[in-house]
Order: sequence, then structure tokens, then C-alpha cells
Amino acid sequence: MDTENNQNTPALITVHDAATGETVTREMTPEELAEMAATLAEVAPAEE
Amino acid sequence: MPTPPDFTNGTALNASSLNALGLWKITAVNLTGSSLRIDNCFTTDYDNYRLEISGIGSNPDGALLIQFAAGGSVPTQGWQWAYRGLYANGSSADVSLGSSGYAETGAYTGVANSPIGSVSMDIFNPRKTERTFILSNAISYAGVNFFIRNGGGACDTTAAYDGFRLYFNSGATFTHGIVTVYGYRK
Repeated sequence: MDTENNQNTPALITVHDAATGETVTREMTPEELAEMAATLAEVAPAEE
Repeated sequence: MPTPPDFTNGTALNASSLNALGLWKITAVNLTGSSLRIDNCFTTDYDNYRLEISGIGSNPDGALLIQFAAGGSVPTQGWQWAYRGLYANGSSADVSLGSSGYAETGAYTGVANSPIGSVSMDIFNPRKTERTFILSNAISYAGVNFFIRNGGGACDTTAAYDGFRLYFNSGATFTHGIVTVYGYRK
């Protein structure tokens, strides 16, 4: 598998509002980055 | 008046014919950035939804995840999810499952920078303040062989959601793909 990483590029979030049709792509805020990282850090895989 | 589902160009349709359509396109969005959030796609018009996430590619490789959103953010939520997969060469099967703040969609983009997987997912009652369930079928690439997974997850948090977020467990960036959201007529 290709494990090349892109940690030096800014993390972007795309937000689309289905009510207005507007789409915005912007850099993630530190809070958004922390929140997303927190969800990944809490992984607790279960066994079959 | 033609009899649905057969229609003829130039013939006016009765409201009853349009109201009988079972699946209605809500929105379609290209997959870009490290995270894609779609707000306000779950409305009172529908109870259940279909996501078609096609031609997914990322850099680097990663497993595609989903979370629900409400009011323009992603609240804390708890999931239980599980998938069974079969490699296309029949060599082996895999089991993937977990309890976490997200659910896997079943897709894994095993080759970077290439459209390498697609997902078809049903979402049940995200607008209701009760558990929300997803059932997902995915085909993607594990690095050597394609594999097909089916399974789903339960969002065990009884909150109402108006949207969702897609992102990767590896923090990867989307390079390819589009997600289309449909609503099932009640």
C-alpha cells in the first residue's frame, strides 16, 4: 500500500449546505482538527 | 396520459405520478479536502436516505469513515459497526468491527491518488431522536485485490441529525469521488 503522507499540506474541510446549495472549502480550524483527531484517538476495536 | 413509470415527452404529468417517485435526489458534492461535511440534507421531507459515494480516491490510502452532523458541527456520538468482506480472488475474507465515535463505511482506498472504491449506503431515521442505523455495501482495493464488504452500524446516540461528515482514519485528503444524497419518499 502507498503510505506516502501529506502532513505538510494544510488540512482542508469542504462544507456543503444542501439547503442553499453553497459549498465552501477552507482550512480546518485548530478546534476542528482537534475534534477530528479525538474521534480517531478513541478507537477501541472489538473482537469478533 | 401515459401510465407510470412510462412517460412521454411533452405530456403533462399528474401530481400523483410525481408523488409516486420513490427516490429523490437531494444534492451531489465532489469529495475534496480532508473532510467533507454536508449540512441540512436530512430534512422532514424524508425519513430514510441513500448515499452513493462513487469513485473514491485519497492521498495517502485510508479507510473511509462517517459521522453525523447537526447545526453545522459534528457532536460527540457513539457507534457500533461491523463489516464482513470477501476478496475478489476468493483467497480470504475479513472482519472489521469496532465501537468508536464514528462508523466505517466499508471502503478502503488502497491505492493513493486513484478512484479505487465506491459505497452504497442506506441511512435510517437520522432526523429522529432515536438510534440511527446505516447499512452499507462497499467495493474497494486492499493493495493487492479488490474486496467487497457489507455491513453497517448503529449510531447509539439518540440525537437528531441534519447532515454527515466523511473523512479518513489516516487523515488522508480526498483526491477523487462524488457523493450523491437521495431521499426515499415516505
